[in-house]
Amino acid sequence: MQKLLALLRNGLHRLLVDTLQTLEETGRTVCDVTNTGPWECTMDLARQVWDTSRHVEIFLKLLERVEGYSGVYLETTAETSSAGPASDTLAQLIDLAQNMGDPVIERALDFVLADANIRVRKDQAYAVA
Amino acid sequence: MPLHDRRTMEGVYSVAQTAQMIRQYRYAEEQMMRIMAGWIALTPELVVKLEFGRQVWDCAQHADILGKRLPELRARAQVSEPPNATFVTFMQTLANREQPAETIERLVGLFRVMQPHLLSVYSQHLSACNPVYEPPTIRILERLVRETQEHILKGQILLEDMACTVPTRERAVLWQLELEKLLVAAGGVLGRVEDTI
Repeated sequence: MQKLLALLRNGLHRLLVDTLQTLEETGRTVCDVTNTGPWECTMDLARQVWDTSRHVEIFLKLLERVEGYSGVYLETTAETSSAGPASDTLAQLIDLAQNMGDPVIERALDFVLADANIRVRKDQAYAVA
Repeated sequence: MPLHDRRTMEGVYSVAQTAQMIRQYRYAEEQMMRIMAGWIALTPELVVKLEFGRQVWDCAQHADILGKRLPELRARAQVSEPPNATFVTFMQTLANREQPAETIERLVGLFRVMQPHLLSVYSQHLSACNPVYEPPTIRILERLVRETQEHILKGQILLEDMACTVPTRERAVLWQLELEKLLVAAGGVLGRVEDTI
């Protein structure tokens, strides 16, 4: 059980760090990219900023639940250009939470996963367009 | 007693004037959205960073509903327009506090100067709208007033926490004064009387 808890804590921390980085990068894009794309694209990015800031809050709360906190592990930031890898990690953590019998973590992460899936679909739609 | 509709048909603003005001409000909301989005990466305090993240989306939605109202007023959709060059300078000055240690200045600019000003302008416009033929504008302004009030309250709470010493409080007041001077010189989000002539 302690091993599962440590795995979950580590995974949540990784997600927290990656999501914070995505939040900052997306925010910078909203700020810098003006008058080059359609307004709807800016709206989508602004929505992504809100989604990622909400996800950061969720990860922080869940970390508290598994006796962790921001900075509990030393992390290095990596390239995070799409929601793909995060979706895989989320699905793995949802499995872990299920195995641990923690429906609170499972449900919260499932909402994040739902957001991530929408993001992937939107990214794909923009890539086709 | 028979029901009697006591609403009058008098109005303050024409269709063209309303469209122009909406373009100017949209400019302010769009700029705030972009400024806050850019500040997220520059702000070390996590709680402030996340509040900017929430408000980016609110301001985007405000700009969007204002922009969608424009074609209903015989104007191009989703167009922003600053009232004058001084207001653009005011917004740039507000946005330029980008050092990590300038979170207090960022909060002051948004929640002590810009948003309180917008709240007062939106409320004034709302009270001048005709209830018979301007309900679409009224609905938008009601939402802007409600959400801007919420933003100011949240920002004020953050500011109280961050500027909790005499020197930091002094910094906040001095920066507010500097911005207020620029805002007054610009005539606010709607500009000076001579801008409309």
